[in-house]
Amino acid sequence: MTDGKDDAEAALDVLGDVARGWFAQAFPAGPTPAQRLAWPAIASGENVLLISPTGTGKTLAGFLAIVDRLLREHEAGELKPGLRCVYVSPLRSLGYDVEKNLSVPLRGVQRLMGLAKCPVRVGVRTGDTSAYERRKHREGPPHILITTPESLSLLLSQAGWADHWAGVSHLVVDEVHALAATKRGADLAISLERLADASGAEPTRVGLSATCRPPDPVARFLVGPSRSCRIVEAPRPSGSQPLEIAVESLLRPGEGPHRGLTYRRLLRRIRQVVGENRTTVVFANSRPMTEKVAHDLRNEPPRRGEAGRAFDGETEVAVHHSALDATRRRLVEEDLKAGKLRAVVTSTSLELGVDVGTADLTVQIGLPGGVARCVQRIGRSGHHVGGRARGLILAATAAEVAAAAVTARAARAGAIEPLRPVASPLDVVCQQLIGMACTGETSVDAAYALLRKAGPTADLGREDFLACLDFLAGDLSGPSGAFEPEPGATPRWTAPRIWKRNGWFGVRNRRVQRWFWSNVGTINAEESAAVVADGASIGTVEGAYAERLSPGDRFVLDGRTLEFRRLEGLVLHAKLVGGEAGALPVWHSDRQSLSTELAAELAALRCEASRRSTCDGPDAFRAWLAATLDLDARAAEVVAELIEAQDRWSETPGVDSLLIEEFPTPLEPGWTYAFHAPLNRSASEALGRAVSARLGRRFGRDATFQAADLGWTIRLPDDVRIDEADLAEIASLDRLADDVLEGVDRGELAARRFRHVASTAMMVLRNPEPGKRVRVGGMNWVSTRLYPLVKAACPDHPLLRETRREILHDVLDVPAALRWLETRPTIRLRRLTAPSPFATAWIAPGGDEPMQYDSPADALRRLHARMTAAAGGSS
Amino acid sequence: MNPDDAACHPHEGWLLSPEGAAIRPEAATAVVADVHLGYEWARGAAGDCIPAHSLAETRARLERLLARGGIRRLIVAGDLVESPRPCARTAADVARLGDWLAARGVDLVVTLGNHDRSLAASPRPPAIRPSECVAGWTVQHGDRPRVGERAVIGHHHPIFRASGLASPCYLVGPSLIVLPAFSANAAGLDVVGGATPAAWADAGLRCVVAAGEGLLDFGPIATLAERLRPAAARVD
Repeated sequence: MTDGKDDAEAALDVLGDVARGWFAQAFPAGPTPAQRLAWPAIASGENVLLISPTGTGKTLAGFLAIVDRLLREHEAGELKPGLRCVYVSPLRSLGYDVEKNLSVPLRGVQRLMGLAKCPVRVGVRTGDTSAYERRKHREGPPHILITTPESLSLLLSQAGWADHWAGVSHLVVDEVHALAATKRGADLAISLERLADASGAEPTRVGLSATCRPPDPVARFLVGPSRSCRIVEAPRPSGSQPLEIAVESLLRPGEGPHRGLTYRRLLRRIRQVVGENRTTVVFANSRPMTEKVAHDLRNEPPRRGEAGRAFDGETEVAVHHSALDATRRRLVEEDLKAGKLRAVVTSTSLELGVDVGTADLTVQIGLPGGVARCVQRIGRSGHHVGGRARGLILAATAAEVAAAAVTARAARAGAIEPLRPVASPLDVVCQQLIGMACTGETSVDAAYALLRKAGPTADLGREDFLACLDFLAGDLSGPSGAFEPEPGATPRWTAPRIWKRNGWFGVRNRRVQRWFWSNVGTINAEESAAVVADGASIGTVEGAYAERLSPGDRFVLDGRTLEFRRLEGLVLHAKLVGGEAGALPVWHSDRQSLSTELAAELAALRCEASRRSTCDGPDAFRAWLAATLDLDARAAEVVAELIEAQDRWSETPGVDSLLIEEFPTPLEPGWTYAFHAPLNRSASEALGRAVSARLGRRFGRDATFQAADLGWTIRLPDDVRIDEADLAEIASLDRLADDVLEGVDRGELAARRFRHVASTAMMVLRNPEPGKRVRVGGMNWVSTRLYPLVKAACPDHPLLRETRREILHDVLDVPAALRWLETRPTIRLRRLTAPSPFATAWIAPGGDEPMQYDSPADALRRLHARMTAAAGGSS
Repeated sequence: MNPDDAACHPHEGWLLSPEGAAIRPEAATAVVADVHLGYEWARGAAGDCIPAHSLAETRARLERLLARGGIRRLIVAGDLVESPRPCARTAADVARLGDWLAARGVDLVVTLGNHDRSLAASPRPPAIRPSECVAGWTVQHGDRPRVGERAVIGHHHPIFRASGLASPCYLVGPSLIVLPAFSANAAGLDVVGGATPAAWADAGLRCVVAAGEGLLDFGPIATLAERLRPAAARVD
């Protein structure tokens, strides 16, 4: 469905004289392909999804047609004050960026028209907007409002804004591909329906997206099931070159993985490329790693052999992530665009559209977590005309090299993973229902119909919907016998949010409204503590982390070393100190997972590599690796060694077999089992949990479980061992989904996800009523106490349903596991004396999750017995 | 008059029960601490929508305790309720608890804790004392300077954490007994890793952990972390 008149003239003709005149002056080269395709489409009044790579003039592509219309109304004397266009972006900084970019044409147009003030007014509303600005907007809204999904939800729930939506004719959603597959996007989609409903007309929707394949799910997300959407795909501007991505190994051939060593080399390599380029953006996958790298880049003196300081760490290296103070973040973005920074180290916050100006290289530490991410991140560089996006992936282990190579190959080919939309998340529905209730009395049927018009909730079941209303009204009943017989025997719920009567519902009181306004949003950071040092606010750290610190402990934030002083409630008081930051953060690429396709590709590659290693001899093998994966000799050597080692010690698993390797658990009594399968992390975790459940039932003992791409490990206690006879049952297709669920319930995953679900649905408030926060209970109360209480009170609570759905569909990939099991892979069990190279490489130790099959009392008794025995007698 | 001694842990004339009560058989008295009734209403006032549970859980646990027999008086060593501010629902729960105990022939006495500010002003308050003496031990909350030679206190919610396991525990010495929180909602003072108050350094405290139907003596807290290390099932 891709079409568009690729004709500059036709596009410019669509614009009125003023806009055209300004554009011709400002951009004599003419409109970009994105602009040429977008303007006629938008002017036609159809909903449009514009797909275009970054840096191709999307802002103007999206906006100029709309601004032009307003200008023409002004010329005809018809432009009245009032909101006409709402522009939504997922990042606060992106919003400010757009405002700045918009001000260029608006000022230009104003000058052309010889006016003192631009007739088209623009305003920005985010969490950072001051109270004064907010009031000004409410009293006299601008023509174009730039905002975030959370702020939009807030505005829609305020009576003071109720009349402002009537004139809205256009809705623009930027970076829509980043929203389409998330709960945040689902929240936005529902807000857009509420906006459309409040406007009384059907505003035209414009979506701006980076490349996504296929585009149809994103279009459906934007407009919902009942509307049509024109998909306009702009090619890269002619003369632009494909992505250049290099993969390097930080390990040398013959070395085993060693964090300290690879980290030092990582730093050295980064320092080197920062020196060789004007501006480098460095992506580290976790916040601790981001901070550590930034800190060391700023402070460490050059090593022997390095030619002095190529850049000034203090002023030219910065950190950027979402836990930093907003003002600080903005400063960094400004400096970056002005070319004042040589390096910015970030976790993910710079991934999306913020124009980073002069970056000419992107460095990725470890795996980027998917092809789409890889393309997005590397696309951060080379934005100047004639520039080329260049990326460098630094891999710390042989497994990482292989995975990075496969990802880079797919990125160069533009083979982006298809998006998996989120289906009817009930926690988001609950939050939106509270929002609707805050706006005013709402009809139950009308609310349901509205929800079904939004893409993500198009298939929302009526029963689920009514259960959400019951929860919010405090009407949920439990199973009979669950509670003591008492007058009004159904469990009472504290603080119901809405009243519900005769087919209508509304907010119960002003208190609930305040709770909604202070807690709106779905980006669920863990509970965080604000860090204050020397009177200045630095940023935040995870609450759980803050609780573990003792006075004198050091940590890094904003690239600076801080010393913990005390924790008062949720404020962490610290002192700025110089010097060593402390332990190395854990390296592994965290939650970053390969896609289903890439995992299968990687597994097939391993097999092929093993075959060539055996048949073709070492030199030909290495040459083939280097050619196929586009690796330098060192990286190819490192991968080759891994394959050869695995073939010596064990075997390379075929794609049609499940290889189980048994080895004694390092440092403890007992056996560990590494399972190798051609499945990505989500599918491995699904199958692995089912296997855990089966082993748990079989032996009745606690196990520890860890999943990764291409496999998982299960550690069993010392007197338990898997037998050949157990194998058939382990991989049986029977009851797979049930066993996955059981495996989930035995671990901590469900309780952890429930915490986020409870927060999004506003069952538990992240920002409680001021002065009433309950301190007894601690940070884990929701997972350890509330989750079992809710399960007992109401096993079919909508939030429990949502937790299960999220786990089975978003976190785990049960269908992929099932599909592979249906091919009836052969099961091979090998007993080894030590972990195999593949087990060590692919399924890293640490971060494993205990699965409880033992009762806690038994486990305590066993611990006590061991302690007594170790002390050599009774204590 | 037949407390089931088998599951209880004896200490200086007291019997420590797995439910979290210190029982003095000759005085037919059981002492618990930190019940935090009405926890859910306090969370509700802060904005959370959660199921009411504290009265039901408290009664279920007391039921198991009273089944041991021989208890005619229950002393709550402070923090019977969660909310220091007046709360009608909490007051109603307190009254219900009092009635329930009275129906079983048990008198309820409360020594005030830092959360109990509004307890005296509630419509049907329980008997309230600043402290209560039982067999030479002074039962008090533990948030204020200690009264008396030998004390039974609450307030600190001691918890034993090791190898991914966690369980409330007693800390017991020749002249001090620190009771675990009776309420499951109380996050705990980690006796293995955390810093215990300096005042306890000389109290010779041992850690006795509740484990299902029984109790396990884990020995002196001063050496607890060290002794657990070789026994730990995973490197934490």
